Amino acid sequence: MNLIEVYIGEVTRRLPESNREDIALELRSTIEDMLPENPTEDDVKGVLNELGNPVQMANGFRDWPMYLIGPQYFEHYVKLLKTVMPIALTVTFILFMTANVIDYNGTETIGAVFFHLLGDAISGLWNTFIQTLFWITLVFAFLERTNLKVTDSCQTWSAEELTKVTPLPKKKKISKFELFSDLLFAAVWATLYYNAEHLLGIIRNGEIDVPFFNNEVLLSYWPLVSLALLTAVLLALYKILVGYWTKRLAIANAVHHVFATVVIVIMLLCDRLIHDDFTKLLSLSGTVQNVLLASIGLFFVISAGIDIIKGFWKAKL
Amino acid sequence: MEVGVDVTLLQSLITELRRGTLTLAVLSQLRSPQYGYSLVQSLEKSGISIEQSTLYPLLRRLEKQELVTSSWDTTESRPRKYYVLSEYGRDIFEQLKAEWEKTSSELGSLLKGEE
Repeated sequence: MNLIEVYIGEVTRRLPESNREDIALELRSTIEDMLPENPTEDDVKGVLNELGNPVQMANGFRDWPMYLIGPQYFEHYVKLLKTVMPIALTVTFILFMTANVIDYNGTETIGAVFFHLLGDAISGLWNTFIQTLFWITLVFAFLERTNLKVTDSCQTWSAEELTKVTPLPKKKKISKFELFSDLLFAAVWATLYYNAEHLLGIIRNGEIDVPFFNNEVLLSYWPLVSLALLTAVLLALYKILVGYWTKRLAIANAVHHVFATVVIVIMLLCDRLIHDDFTKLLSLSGTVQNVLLASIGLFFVISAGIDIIKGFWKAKL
Repeated sequence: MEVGVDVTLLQSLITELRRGTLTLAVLSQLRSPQYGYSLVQSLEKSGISIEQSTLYPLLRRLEKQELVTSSWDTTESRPRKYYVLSEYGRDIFEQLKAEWEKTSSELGSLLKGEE
């Protein structure tokens, strides 16, 4: 009888814990039904052969998909990867070069710097490649296992949709350049923000002499800033998936810009944001400094406003 | 022509052809309660052989789709899981049956025309 238990074990260990017991019980009763009275080992083997490969049996019971990303999402998956990957790699490369140029303190020979750079660049690019691949795959594998639908167009397609596809004005389309600059901006903002201590200030002899910001105050806004950066990246991904300006995209764009601008304005309103050393260096009166900060804030508000209007205008085309 | 390739192709086409009909065959036998092995036997009596590794998962799926209900009978010497059509399953079965009869008569006249 031992063979039977081994067989059942081989099937159930491949199944989710919750229905193991029930399936084991049913298999056992079925096997006993199939066996004659006082079975020999050959009888048992015969019955098990009839039941077939335990792996195949277990696969049948599983209602979880046996693939990572199915046909419903595969096209979107490949499209997203193809668009995001070159951008992510380029952004990494640019950021990396900039950071190294800033860090360069002139003590190493050009040859040493070159090999140093090359090694770092390869590992940095490789890292970005793997991270991008991993996260996008993870999101799609997750989508595959929920009932969410990215597009319903697959189910209810009609020839009507062709008429919507053809007359797409060029201005309505989202260019690679636009996506690229969106993501590059997000990456630059993130780099500057999280490394403000080393990057933002008046640099003397390769080190920050007079920092622009009070780093503690600046970094205390991290949840808001991180959220704004996240919405920027999500917006860019949404742009890739849709491909052209729609009303929904324009609304998403507006939401992101309003939120990001509010975060910036909140930060500018904090009177301890600017480092005392920098204030002293500029030796501006309080009013002038406030006017300066206000105009910086206004600049962000206006450029956000322009971008929001542009989005709705393109969506209407 | 490579005979080996043809045989496997034929086999896969046959499997494909039979796959949909198995559900109908199983549903037809569940108008009265059956347990796994009795179901295999009653199907085999009508000449329909079904892999056991297909049957049990199929039963479970039908249960999940609420076409059949199951219950354990522990009064006999060994416990047995009985499956029977639900109200909804009966309804679906009748519709499937009508669809099958329609298809098979259409296909019948189509294939006769070929000869």
